[in-house]
Amino acid sequence: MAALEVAGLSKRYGGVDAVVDVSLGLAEGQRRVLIGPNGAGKTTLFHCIAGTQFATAGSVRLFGADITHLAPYARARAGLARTFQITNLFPNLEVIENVLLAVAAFEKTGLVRPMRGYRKFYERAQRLLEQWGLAENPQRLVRHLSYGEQRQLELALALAGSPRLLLLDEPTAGLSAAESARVVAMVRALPRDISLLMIEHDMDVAFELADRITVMHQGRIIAEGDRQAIRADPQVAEIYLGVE
Amino acid sequence: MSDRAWILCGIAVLAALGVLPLALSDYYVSLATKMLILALFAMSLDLLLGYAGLASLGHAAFFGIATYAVAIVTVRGGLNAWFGMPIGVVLATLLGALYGVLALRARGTYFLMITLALAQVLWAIAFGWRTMTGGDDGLPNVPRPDLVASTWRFYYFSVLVFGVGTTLLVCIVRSPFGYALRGIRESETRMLALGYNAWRYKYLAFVLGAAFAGLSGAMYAYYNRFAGIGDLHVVRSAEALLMVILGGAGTLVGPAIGAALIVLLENVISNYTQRWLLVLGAIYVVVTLLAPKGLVGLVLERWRRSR
Repeated sequence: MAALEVAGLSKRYGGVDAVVDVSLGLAEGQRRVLIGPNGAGKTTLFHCIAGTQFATAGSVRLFGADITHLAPYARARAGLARTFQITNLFPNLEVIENVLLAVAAFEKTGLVRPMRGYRKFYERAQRLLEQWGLAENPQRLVRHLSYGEQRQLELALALAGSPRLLLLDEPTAGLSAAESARVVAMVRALPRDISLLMIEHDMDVAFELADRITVMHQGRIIAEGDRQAIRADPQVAEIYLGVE
Repeated sequence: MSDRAWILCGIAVLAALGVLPLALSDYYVSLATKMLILALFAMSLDLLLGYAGLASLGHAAFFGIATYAVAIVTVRGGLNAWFGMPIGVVLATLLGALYGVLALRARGTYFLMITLALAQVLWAIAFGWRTMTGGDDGLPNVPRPDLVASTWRFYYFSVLVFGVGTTLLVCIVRSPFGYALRGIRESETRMLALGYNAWRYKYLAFVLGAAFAGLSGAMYAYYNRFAGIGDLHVVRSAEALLMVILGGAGTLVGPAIGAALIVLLENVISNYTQRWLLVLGAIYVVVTLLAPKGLVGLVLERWRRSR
């Protein structure tokens, strides 16, 4: 079964066609990178898959189930997790509190028993922080973390709910070379049973992480294939290098 | 602070409140009673503003409906005064359940405007329905329950209600539900992406806020022995907002302190001038300029930095 199946998806804002008739299938366990110049419609496509925006036409299926009209939280409960292009965390909460919220998301909890009473939440949160190299001083406020640490925390939050499909929107954008390498290593180390769809501007990163690459331009998919095929594709070279 | 430190603090505050009347005249015991009741009202609003990040300018609706409920069932209905409070709290909760559906369709400033409009509807009903509510004359002669009728006894009854209400609110904000509200305040889109049905959390917070506002409104009817149009007025809502902001939103203890200060100040200033709203406005400006996170926020920031 396909992890993700996008069929004939279009998204129009007023008179602008941001995404036009896009179809895309992602096999279970596959790592797919979405590339394309600015304004190609990559992030809009992401929004329609994650539910932050709804498609004008077409459908989205997650592991066979139609999620085209589901709210974002319902998609998350169906096994989809995401990070945001612009860091989206809880800046005035502590690091540990951020992770606790992610860990408790699918759990049944009451109104009276304090968070501290849920030992297993703390244990899981602690494990996640250690796994992602954020265990040092978890009482720090997130807004005091470095940008690189915040991007790492975003990944940790996305993975807390054991998702089956992970959407990453430019996870290395704005990072230094060292920080970027760390995030790439983190993504590489993900279990292979998590299917991955990722937008990436850095070609080196894209070619390093991708099983297959999809190229978007002006709202459409213009090429799809493995690394060699995309490297050799004349249309892709034209868009990126402006070759006549 | 650890759990034990919090519990010790709570016991110390309750003990101080317990011996307070021994040192004060009846007049000041009565003033302290008003502080406790309005502190509960301010804390109920803090659940919305400070935790869920929902700025409501109509919170007096839930306070006022309970005040009127107590007055109507006792004065018009002739029921025993004890029945007033539960009826008031239930009505405020039901109103919260209705208004929550309507108001939570909007966010930010629009949410503020809708809550204001909804509260004004209730105000207009209370103003116009003279045969039931007494219009702008209000409903006087609201009885207190026999057992707690004297100034002292009513003070201790208020301490009890305040203590129970505060304990419940503290439990709520420290539960995973309270954490989720803070998460929604910080980033609703992130909460949705994590799998939280944010609307349901906000709705429950709204209804709970209404219930606690109703509790304090019912107490206020007993306290004043009166239900008046002012209990539903936008000024009552704005005052509560100011109490929360002055003390420090999102801290519970802050709004309680804010309420005490505002009640005290109103009492002092009314000796000199009728222009209380002018003073209230000035306080608001000074607080937003000098202590945008409120008095408790200032202290917390210091403490965090010193660590």
